[in-house]
Amino acid sequence: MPLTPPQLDALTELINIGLGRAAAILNEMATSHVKLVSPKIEVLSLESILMGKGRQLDASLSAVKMSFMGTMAGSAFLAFPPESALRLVSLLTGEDRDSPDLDSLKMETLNEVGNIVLNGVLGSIANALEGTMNYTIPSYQEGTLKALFIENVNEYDMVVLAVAEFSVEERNVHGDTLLILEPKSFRTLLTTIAPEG
Amino acid sequence: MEKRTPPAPGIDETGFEALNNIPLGAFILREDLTIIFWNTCMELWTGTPRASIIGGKITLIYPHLANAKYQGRLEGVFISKTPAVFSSLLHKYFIPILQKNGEFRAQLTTVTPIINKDARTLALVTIQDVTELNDRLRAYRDMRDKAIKEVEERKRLEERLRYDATHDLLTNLLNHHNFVDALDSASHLAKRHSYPLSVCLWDVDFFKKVNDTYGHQIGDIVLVKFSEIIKGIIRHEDFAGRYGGEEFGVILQHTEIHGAVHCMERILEALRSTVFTSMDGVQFHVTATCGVVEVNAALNDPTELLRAADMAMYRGKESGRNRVVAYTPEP
Repeated sequence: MPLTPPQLDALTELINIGLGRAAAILNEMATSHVKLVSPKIEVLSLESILMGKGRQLDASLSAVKMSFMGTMAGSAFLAFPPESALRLVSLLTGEDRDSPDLDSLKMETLNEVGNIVLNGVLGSIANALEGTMNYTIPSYQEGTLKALFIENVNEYDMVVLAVAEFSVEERNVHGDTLLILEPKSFRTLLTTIAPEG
Repeated sequence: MEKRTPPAPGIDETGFEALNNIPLGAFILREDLTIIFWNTCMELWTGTPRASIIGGKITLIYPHLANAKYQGRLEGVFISKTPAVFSSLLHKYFIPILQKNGEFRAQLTTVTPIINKDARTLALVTIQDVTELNDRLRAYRDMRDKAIKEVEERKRLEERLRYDATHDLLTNLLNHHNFVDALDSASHLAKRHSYPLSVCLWDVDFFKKVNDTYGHQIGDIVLVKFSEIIKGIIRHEDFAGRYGGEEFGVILQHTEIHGAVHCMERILEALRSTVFTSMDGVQFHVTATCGVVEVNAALNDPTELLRAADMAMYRGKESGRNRVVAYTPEP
């Protein structure tokens, strides 16, 4: 479903407001200054994703998932290539050790980062919808993008894919914020944020 | 805990009693951040009985929680109903609990909204003690890092042994055996691809006298310096080896005899202008004699090449040393 320019603008603004809030919280916690923006937002169907549009499907990912129900239902992910996830955690904690794999200590930290970022984005959207929503606590998972989609996306779901660009101490770490919405929720979202669209 | 606490006035606490039986620290906050439940595990950990803490404001009892990084997120639980996770790497603690060693216990804290029977939002805080888990993970990580370091060290050592087996320990040039090997393959390739190649043999003049007059230590310094001069002048693709005691060999790739003689003369010039100093402070100079031969159709066997270079060097010695002599076949 292609978005009209006003719809895309409104969605981009909502997501960036949420990311801005998340960055403000991360700044309170991290030793170095954190900036978080989304320069690019796309809306994709499951079909177009499985056809390989946008991202490499077989690349492995470290992801934090939160599901939500209520006015809008679906699930949200903050996903990184494992080495980016590791770098982000090292930058935020100031621990410069780079273990070759994500050990549990870092998974736990990434889970908190995901929690903050997804709370920001989902909170911003829920606020615009003026509805009530319930959320699951964040959980960490690893796997390919394909596995993640097959497990979490239904045939008619829409996927809002927002690049999440973290800048910490002049170093950039890129991740993806993924919002997987049931068709009804997606329509609700669009009509609420840009009724004229 | 024997000490039973009556419910706080006006709040139905009975539903929370089950939280006394879970292996997690758990407490419940009202929107104004007052504590309405404090489970047995929290009593054990903090030493603060439920009766004395209920009705108190968490940010007054634990002032660090009034900091924006906690309070803002706790408010989010009430306002937007989003759960909040506090990990042990990003937070020293959520509720400070000291260990005997003076460090705080590591905690993984989750705050989730729950709705009470009056439809008010409460925040359930659960704290998982991850101190032992973290310590073990750290110990495991350190062990793995150590193992990786050991493997790297062994690899480095093996490389060093390989290097030592092929190089002269004093000068770091190829040793005799490997110099001859290098000549063998270089002359073979030069013949097959028909490009010029020159072989040079050096002998330090009156080296025995240097040793006898100034001692072996000074003699070694002369050899090291000479090998450094050679390495500094030849190119990366050329070879230099310690051929014998005070004899050095050089293989110049893609070089005809005139070029080779010129290159060796530069080496000799550099040696001549080097000032050596004895243990007693006596300054002296050293010279050397070099024989040079170029590979050609008739002369390409390594042994023959070395014999020819040696012959040229011998002629140089006979005609006064301190010179570079190109090989010419006997008339």
